[in-house]
Amino acid sequence: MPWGFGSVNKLREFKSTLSAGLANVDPEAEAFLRGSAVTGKNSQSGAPFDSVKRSDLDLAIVSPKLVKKAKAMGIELRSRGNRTVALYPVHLRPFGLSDLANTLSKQTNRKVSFMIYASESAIKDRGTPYISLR
Amino acid sequence: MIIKFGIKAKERELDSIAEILAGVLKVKFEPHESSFRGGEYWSAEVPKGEVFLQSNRDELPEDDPFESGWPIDELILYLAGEEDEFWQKELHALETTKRIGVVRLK
Repeated sequence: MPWGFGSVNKLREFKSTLSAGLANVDPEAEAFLRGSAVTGKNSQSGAPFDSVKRSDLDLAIVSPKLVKKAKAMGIELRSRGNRTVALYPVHLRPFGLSDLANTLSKQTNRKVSFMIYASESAIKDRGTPYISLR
Repeated sequence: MIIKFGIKAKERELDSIAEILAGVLKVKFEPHESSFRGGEYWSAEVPKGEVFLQSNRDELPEDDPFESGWPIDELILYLAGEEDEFWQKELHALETTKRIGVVRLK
């Protein structure tokens, strides 16, 4: 089980909320978890999850539709246009993700960060572990 | 929507700079860690948006820095809100502070 959820039931609730929320935005979108919630340690320092600073839940959303929308909104793209920067709260509203982010954050008592990817292979290319939240 | 600054301080100074900036901007920073922001960072929620202080170094060694016009091993500050003009008080505070070196980025 990934770090940061506390129990299987909490993870199940998180997945259910995420799935329902994403379906409203892009029914084709797929959600993955990246970062220290998967590896159990800080990507830079190697410090264990939550040991130095409270770890966010890093959600990688695969949605070509949303990447296209991000580009149209002038949101910066990285990795040769295959992913957005981490979305700011001000970006979440036009994507229809603001309420979802707030709900997920309340459920887990953590900041939930979103990054939009053009494809799952763009996540895989990062070379760091990730897991599906289907 | 996103106002960017380079902070003339090294990554290892992240925590001490957060303390100074909290005073300059009159915000309450909270510590965080995210692979999306290059590891450890600080953020502060304010009614007009959110303030982020983080390293300019992205997650992987081969990644470009978040801000290409700023040294990769230094810090960056983002003011993220609906309208740039909401941040006049903070912009003035950052432009006039003598406690740290601050450069507005394009």
